[in-house]
Amino acid sequence: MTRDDEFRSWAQQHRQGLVRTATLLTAGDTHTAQDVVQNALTKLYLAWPRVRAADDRQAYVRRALVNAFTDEMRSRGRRREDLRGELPDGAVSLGATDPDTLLLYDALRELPDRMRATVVLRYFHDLDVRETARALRCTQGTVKSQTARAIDKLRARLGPLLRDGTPAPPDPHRPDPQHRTHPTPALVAAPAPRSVA
Amino acid sequence: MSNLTDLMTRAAAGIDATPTAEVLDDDLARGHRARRLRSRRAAGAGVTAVLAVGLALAVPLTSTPPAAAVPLVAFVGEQPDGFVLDVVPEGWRVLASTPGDLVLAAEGDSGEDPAVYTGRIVATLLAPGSVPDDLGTAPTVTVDGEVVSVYPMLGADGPDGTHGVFVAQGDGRYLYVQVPAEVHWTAQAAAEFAATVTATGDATASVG
Repeated sequence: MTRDDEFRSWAQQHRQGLVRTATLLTAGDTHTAQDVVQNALTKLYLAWPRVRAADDRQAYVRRALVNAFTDEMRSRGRRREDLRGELPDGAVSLGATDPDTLLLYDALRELPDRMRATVVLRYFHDLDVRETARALRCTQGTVKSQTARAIDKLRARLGPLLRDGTPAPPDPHRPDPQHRTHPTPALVAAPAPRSVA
Repeated sequence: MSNLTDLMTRAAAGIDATPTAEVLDDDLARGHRARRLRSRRAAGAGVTAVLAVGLALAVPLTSTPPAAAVPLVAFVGEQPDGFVLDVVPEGWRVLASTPGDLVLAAEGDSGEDPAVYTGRIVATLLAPGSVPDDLGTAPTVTVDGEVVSVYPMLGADGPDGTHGVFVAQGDGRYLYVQVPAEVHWTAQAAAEFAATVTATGDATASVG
């Protein structure tokens, strides 16, 4: 099997997981998420023999994705400065209609990029503090403090949605209660994988 | 906070991003383009650096010009054991290769004693813990957004133009590439070349 064959086979299995993670990292901006995944996959292709040989391929791929996310957000930050006032705030191109998901993305969007990455790795990928620090190339102390601050912000923003496993009751004061269908059986029946490799 | 995990899992499950054949074709095409670009850039880096030095020094036409950096050319031939080469310095060849070491030699090198590395390019994979203790404080350059450590190697009278390049492999191991003064490369050029050398799954990491 050639390098291309191997890479293609691997990408076919794992690309969707990368897009899902990147969509959370970008707080629901699927266009940016696709850019992040494309850039990460290009780096992974260049390093494919190393990726294939890595003892912990998942960790390698996660780090590539986080690096691509960081680069993309830094680049977009620069472009945003250039085009200030011309771009709509928080533009989201999202097919999801689940109101809880929209609220989640709204809340995630209010977090700084690195803080958002921290909670995605901790709570979506279920990484421990050490693994998260390794993926983000920061100290474990930074992960702990970023996580704590992120949870405080998310709790303040999402309120009842974050109470231990309890579906949020209807609340007329919540920003987008219409068409509320939580819990959504079709979505619950098809959980997303939490790993990227 | 398991509810946050549930929320994220449900949000992710709503994203159908199953790749089509066209999407995968595009991914591969981007990879191919990046690979070609990296090889071309590595080939140009050494020459550009020497030209820049020459201009900066405003070398008089009557003086001896600085030795030209050996340009990189696409590697043709059988790939060595344990490593994949995209490019090599012009005129250089694979002298010896094992899953543990790769040795390149210049044109005119008699090829005697491949275990002698003087004047030759050597690549070897280093196991975690086998890198210098002060690697974190070594001079660095950036290649493709990755930080690469490049030591100026010392001869009997100080730095002799040899570069010791450490490229992180992402799993705790490092690819070490020693580049001799004979190619007349800058640290950046040496690092650009080292980044094109790939240790395959067959490469064995040295411990020492």
